[in-house]
Amino acid sequence: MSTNDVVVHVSNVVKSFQAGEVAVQALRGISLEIKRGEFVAIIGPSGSGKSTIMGIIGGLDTPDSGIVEIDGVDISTMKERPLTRIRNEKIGFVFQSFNLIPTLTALENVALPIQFSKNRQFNPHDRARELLTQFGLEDRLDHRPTQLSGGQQQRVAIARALANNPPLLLADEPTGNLDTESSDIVLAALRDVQQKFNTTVCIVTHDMDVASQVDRIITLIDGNVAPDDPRSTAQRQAVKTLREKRRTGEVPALAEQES
Amino acid sequence: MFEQIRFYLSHSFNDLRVNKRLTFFALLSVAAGVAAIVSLQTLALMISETLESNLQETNRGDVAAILAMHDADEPLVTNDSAETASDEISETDNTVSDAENTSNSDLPRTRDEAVEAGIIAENEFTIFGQSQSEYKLSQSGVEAIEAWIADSIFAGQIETTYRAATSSGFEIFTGTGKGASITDTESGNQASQLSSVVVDTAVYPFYSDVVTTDGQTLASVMQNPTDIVVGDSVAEQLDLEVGDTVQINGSSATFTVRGIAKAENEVKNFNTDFFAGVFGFYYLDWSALDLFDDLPIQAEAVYFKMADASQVTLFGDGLLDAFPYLSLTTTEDLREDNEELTQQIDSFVAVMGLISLLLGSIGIINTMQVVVRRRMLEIAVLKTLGLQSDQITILFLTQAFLVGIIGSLAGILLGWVGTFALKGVVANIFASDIPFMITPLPAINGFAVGVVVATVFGFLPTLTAGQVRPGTVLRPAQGVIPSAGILRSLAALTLIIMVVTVIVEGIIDRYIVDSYLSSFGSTMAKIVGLVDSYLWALGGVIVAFIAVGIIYLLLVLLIWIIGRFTPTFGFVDLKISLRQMLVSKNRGASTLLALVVGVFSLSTITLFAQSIANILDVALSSAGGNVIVSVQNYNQVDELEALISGMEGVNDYTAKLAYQVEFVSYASAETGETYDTEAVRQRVRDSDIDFPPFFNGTAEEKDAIQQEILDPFLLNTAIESRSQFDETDITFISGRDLTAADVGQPLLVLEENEILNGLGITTGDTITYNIVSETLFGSSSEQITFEVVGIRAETVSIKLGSPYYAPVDAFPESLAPSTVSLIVDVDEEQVPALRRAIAEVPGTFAIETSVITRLFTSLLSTFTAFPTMVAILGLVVGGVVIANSVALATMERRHEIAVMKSVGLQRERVLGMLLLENGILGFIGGLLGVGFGLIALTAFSVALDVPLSSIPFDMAFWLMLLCVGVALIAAITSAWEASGEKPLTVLRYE
Repeated sequence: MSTNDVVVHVSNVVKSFQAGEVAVQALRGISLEIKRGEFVAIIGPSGSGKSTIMGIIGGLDTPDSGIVEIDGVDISTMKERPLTRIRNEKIGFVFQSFNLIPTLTALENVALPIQFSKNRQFNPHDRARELLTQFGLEDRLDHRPTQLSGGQQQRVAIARALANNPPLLLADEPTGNLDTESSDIVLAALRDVQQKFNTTVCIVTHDMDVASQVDRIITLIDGNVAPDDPRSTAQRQAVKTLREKRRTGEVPALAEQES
Repeated sequence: MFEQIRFYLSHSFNDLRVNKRLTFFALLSVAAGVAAIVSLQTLALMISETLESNLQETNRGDVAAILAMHDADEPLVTNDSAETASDEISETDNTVSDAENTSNSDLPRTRDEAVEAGIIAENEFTIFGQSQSEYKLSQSGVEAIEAWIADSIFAGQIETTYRAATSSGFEIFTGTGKGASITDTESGNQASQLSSVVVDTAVYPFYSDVVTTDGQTLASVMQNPTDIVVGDSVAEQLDLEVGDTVQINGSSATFTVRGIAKAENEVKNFNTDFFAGVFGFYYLDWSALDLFDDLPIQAEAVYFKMADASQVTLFGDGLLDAFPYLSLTTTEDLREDNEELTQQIDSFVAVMGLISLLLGSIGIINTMQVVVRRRMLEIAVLKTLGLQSDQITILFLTQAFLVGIIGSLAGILLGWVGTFALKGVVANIFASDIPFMITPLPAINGFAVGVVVATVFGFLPTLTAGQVRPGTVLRPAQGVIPSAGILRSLAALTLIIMVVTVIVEGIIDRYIVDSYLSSFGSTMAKIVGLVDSYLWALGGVIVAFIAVGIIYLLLVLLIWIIGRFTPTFGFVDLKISLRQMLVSKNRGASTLLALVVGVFSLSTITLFAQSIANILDVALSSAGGNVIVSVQNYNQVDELEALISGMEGVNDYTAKLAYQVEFVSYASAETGETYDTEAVRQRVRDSDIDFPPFFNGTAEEKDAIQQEILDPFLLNTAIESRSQFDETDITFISGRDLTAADVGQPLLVLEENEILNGLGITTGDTITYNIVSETLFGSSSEQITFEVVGIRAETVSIKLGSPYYAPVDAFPESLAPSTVSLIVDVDEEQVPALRRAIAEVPGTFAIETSVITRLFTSLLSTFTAFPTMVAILGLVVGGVVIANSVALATMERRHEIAVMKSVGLQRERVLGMLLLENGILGFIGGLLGVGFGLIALTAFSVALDVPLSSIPFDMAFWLMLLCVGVALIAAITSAWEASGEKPLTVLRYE
């Protein structure tokens, strides 16, 4: 496999931090790789280091030791200024609580990363309009976040993450604040992104329903990558089966059950 | 780039719009400071404009002439310009030159000659046994001036009128002159110490009209000699209305009130119209003088109206050359005086306005800190999207800039409203109607300074915004405000200092720069001058910043100590309030700083004014009575004592006799050496006397002052002959007080002063004085050697006799005392009767101590009104900073407030906690602000040997209460809404 096929390369990364008065070793020499165009989920229990590894892969934080390469660029010891450029051009972020800028419209939110890009590839508003239309939000371009539903906000966030056409999209619990229907729409959108643009999508989640829909699972336990746990594989399989049965109508959908 | 700027602007605008409360108080902080600048500068301009536009009106003509104050013996100085003017007048018009030169040479050259020639009338009077004279232009004098004009090139071009009075300034003050009091014929009430303004009502005053409160002019309402127009204060005092009748003392006629005139009609000049302003005045026509017995026409002032106003200086100089004993005020003189005055006002208001704005900038710093804190997640998101630290900083700086712009615009409007509101206060101070006007310059100044200060002071907190870690986006709850870093903070601070220096140098040092520009010719020199001026300003600003920094740290420490160690006695509300103070001690300190500065300014001014008033009260109360009787000569004492003791309502009285003495020699008991006058003078030169305090002149100037005050302190002084020895509240530095056993012995008690201390005069020393006695029958003198038996501490008191005293009968009977007075303690209602009785005795008069109080109080309020007004503005800005601070605190503590309410605390209880916290802050602010004011006052009192008992602690208490009140009102306005928030809204949905 050529290095060009690897978008995320993490090797022996260690990270510890201070939580109040307690020192926490969040990552204990973790190593992993994610290939171009993969649809991956990082799962694990609370405190396993999911958010920490996502922050480090996303260039939001730097490791105490180890190497992190994004699209072939070593970012592990990068200074803040070039790291910011990496975030702007090579990584897209989607957060659980959407984190749209409340004072900007959907269009302005999506256009923002392009407006601040050094190597601008697109016209900000044209690109924003195109992406939002792609996610079915063409009639919500001038709406502010407070005027949008949760699902719509998250789709705006995905569009924003894709604004500079980054090779990597990181999503932190992207469906955590959404109902089932919106979750499905958002996951479908992410899958769409991966398939249409060949963008690597990496989701951090503890939701088995989400995990059951990705191509590969990376499980973290106590700051290390764990071998696949048979219990969670079985759990994921069960959720997948249930989802399939719901899709075919063999099992009624949740909304129908309630009614 | 353009898109980025648009993003900065639209984002900042939207953020301000969405966070209405936060925005409101941030804007208010800027607006309050800008409003202070705009209103003060507009007021200064209005004053300047009014003074400038009313020069002729204020001067009551193009030239006003009064008699000069200089002594008759003083050689008259004829300046060059006057001589030149005289030549010009004669040379220009050859036909009158000879006549004029002749008339000039015929005219008297000195006041004494003018008195002899009948041009000047001399009015003699006696005060405390001393003979004095007052001078006025006689009717012949006015005619002489008119004749001189008729002979000059100005013939036919100048109108003349004059203002006469029924009594002199002395007679007004003592209430003894004709026309100095008015009695309402209906009620019998009397107003005294009045100034009569006797004028030709048909023409007076030039260039304006005296307008009564019902809109009539003096000329239209005064048709008969018995018509009178009274000043508004007199009308108010006697409850007079148009149509009422009054009696004027000195005339048997009954006068009818035809109008009431506001004070600004007549009170235009602080020096010449002082009594009229303080005690009141009334107008009479010249024809009314015939209704007074034996009242010659004497002009207080002569006014000239010129056809060609540009000739004012030429005419003035010519007139002065012909009548050297006159003192002229031309419109040009007034213009120069006004310019100087307005420059001083301008500088003062600029400084105070700037201080207010800098106080307001504390609000900006606090607000931007909170904005950054609240938007940490948003900043982190922006960073994940690729915004660099400096771009984040620019984004927030844009917001501070917008706050500066909008706040400044609001401040301009508020400033204009403030100007309109304060117009009345200023009009009272300047005794002139100040028309309201809106001028662009103060608005532009306020706007520019407001925007720059808001942006620059917003810079420091926004630097921290750039340092927010992007990782915060993943764990928003754990986000902490990062520090901007030492280097960045220092750079920001340097920038702030440099910008503030530019503003300070531009506003305050403008006049210094101007003088540089005018004094240096070349461009290089101008640059050097500007740089020099800037460096001075920079030094000042750096020192000020260091001082503010130290005070800030001390305040942080103080809040920490109070929050940490104040016992709560199990009172939960207090405990929570104190804990909160500890948590937000930095913001608390900055808020406190704003409050302390505001309170300190206000308290210093008001405490100083009140202290002076207290000193006066103490001095007057120490006089031993409420009426002081001046006696012409010693022989009248028995008659007066008999008169007073027989009067109803008199509780007590004391005669004060003092002898004028001339120093002969002083013998030191310690060394045995004797010093004559010259030796004493030399000893003063050789000594290291610390007098006058804070003297900044040369050694020669200091020596001159010390030699000058040797006279009243030692060489030519007075010694009181004391018959009562029961003063118990005197502190003695050394020796003892006199006792009854000392009667008849040449013993002396001195009051300490710097010169006596410096000379080393102490008990046991002897001083030989020549006692001089001048009576109608001639003068006599006798030498007495006094032994100094005591030196008493200096006290503030009315020393009608003398601060030095010897026992009665120490002076031989052959010598008459030079000063005689009586202090009478009489019931208030009997004072008029006492005055009438005293007036019957020739050469004597009685004056109430309350008249002196009124005089000083009026003076004090005139001088302190403007600074007080400015200081109040400072306090208002302090209040705004508190309101802003509380608004920010409640915003940050919404969650905490919601939790408290969810566990059952009522709104009032929550509000109570917030008020308690801010009440404590207000109390500390008051304690420090007023405390510093008291310390300054105490230091000043100690330095000037003023008794500390004069410090107005009661007023200090009220000022502190005011400070707490301001803090509570500011707190309640911003905490009311927050305390009413539904807990579920905050806990569930935010």
